Amino acid sequence: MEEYRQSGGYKALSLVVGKWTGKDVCAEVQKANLRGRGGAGFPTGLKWLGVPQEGAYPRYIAANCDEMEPGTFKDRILVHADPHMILEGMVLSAYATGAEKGFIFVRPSYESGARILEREIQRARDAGYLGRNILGTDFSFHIVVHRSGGRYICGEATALLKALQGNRPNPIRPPPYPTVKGLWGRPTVVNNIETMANVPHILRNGAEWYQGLSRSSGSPGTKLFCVSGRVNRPGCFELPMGTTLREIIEEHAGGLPPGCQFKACLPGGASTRFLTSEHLDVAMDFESLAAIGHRMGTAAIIVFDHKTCLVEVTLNLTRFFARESCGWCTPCREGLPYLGDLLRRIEAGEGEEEFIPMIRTMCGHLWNAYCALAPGAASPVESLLTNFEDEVREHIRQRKCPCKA
Amino acid sequence: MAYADLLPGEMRRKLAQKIAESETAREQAIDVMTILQGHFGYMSDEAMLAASELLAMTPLELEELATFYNFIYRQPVGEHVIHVCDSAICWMHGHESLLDHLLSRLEIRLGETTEDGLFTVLPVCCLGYCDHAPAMLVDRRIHGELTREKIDRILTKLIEDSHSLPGRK
Repeated sequence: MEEYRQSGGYKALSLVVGKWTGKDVCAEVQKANLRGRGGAGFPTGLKWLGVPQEGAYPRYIAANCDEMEPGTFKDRILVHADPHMILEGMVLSAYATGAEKGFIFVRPSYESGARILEREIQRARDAGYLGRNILGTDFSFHIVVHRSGGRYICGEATALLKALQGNRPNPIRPPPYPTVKGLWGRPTVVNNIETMANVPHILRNGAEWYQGLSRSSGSPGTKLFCVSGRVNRPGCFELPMGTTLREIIEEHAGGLPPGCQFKACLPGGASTRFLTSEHLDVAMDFESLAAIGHRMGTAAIIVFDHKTCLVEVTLNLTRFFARESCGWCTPCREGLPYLGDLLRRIEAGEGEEEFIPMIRTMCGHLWNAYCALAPGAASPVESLLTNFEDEVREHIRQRKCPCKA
Repeated sequence: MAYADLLPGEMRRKLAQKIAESETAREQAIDVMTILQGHFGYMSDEAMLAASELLAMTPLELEELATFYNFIYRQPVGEHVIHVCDSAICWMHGHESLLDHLLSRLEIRLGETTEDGLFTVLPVCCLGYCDHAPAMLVDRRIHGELTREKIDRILTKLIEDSHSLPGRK
């Protein structure tokens, strides 16, 4: 905590608490155009303003540390590197929205992170940054770490809130939005912990400064980019929004190992579409990717080389989604194993030509699912057919995987 | 509380305190089950009944939770639970052959428990250690950059530790 304070930590808190109004804080975050870092990129200020003025009390903050999108590990890094940045962000978000209690929802494989957070929460409490009468004002806010039992769907905001309350975490489609009716029927703000970590900086240095950090106008600030897969230096890199895909992969992650050529990558975890080498100069920000029909998601870049079979990759991803389906709605529960079976047969050399239109049709059905899991799962499958249909056809024609020796 | 009363006193006190500090008892469902399955070995029917009493839930309501989560074991598991990540990045880094090696050393199939009750091996999705692929959890502790040798060392150590416990052959 000392280290955090020395580099400017908790300065925002002392500038704001007891001096600004909650509305002032929302306004500054909205002016900065902070966009959610959990994958959807929804404007955070706008989300906070979704808490009705005359809304019920008590109100809650739920910080999402359930990251389970394959390829994503930025939140793990953040919790271990800078837990107080998350805590300060949560206190400020509570101040902005009138919340009195916060939960940090942590996935089981981040148990060490959960313990770090619990320890640092205690330290922040002892220092007067948390708990009753923060910095001597009448503003009180408590944070508790909540451990998940472990399942991908719990990262979805409404499912997270259900899980927290001890209900089976099938998502509930809004309205009402959690900001109106969340935990125990009260207004609840759900934000990814990386989103939270941006807030102290915005309030300490101002919206304009924050926008100046980025290379893009529509997506301000910096982003924690993860790179993994076939690269020399997998890792998490904090870079300006709008840094190109090429720069992230080649300069920061050290490019592909000797003998490996870039074939494709997923820009934001498993529920995004494949990008090919023609896209390497795209700016990694929300709007630049949207402009080419893609999503940035969590900005977890997974790199595949020319020796990797993309049918096998897509099969792996589809099996992941099928296993993690909560089972509530038919398109997801039945459609994902169906797709998995078709892909398995294609990969095993048992594919038929008619599987290709069948896959397309089933992907279409997935967009009718109740939540975003199934449409996300459809994304790599659809883009496999869009960008790599030849590879799929070769599996069918040769009656084996052409990528295997 | 017919079943909860049979739990060790210290555990009962700890669980009661957790529940008292939360907004509702149900909020503690995962933590209560995690503690109870540590005691009972897994969420047995008895554990479920004790937990549902403490949480003021019906056994069926609790069943909805116990059967949903990757880290709540509604069926018996060994002393050590190994979760091996099989998502895309670990898969690209040799997951399949490492899993084969692990299973053949333990002489079980995926999802099974060794005859001596020491190890259960389960698949799990992305653990969030893709920068250390391939990875697995052993008793919730992460092990990355796995190789056959590393897996062997981990297993050997756990087997040795179990032999040095009193009452074990």
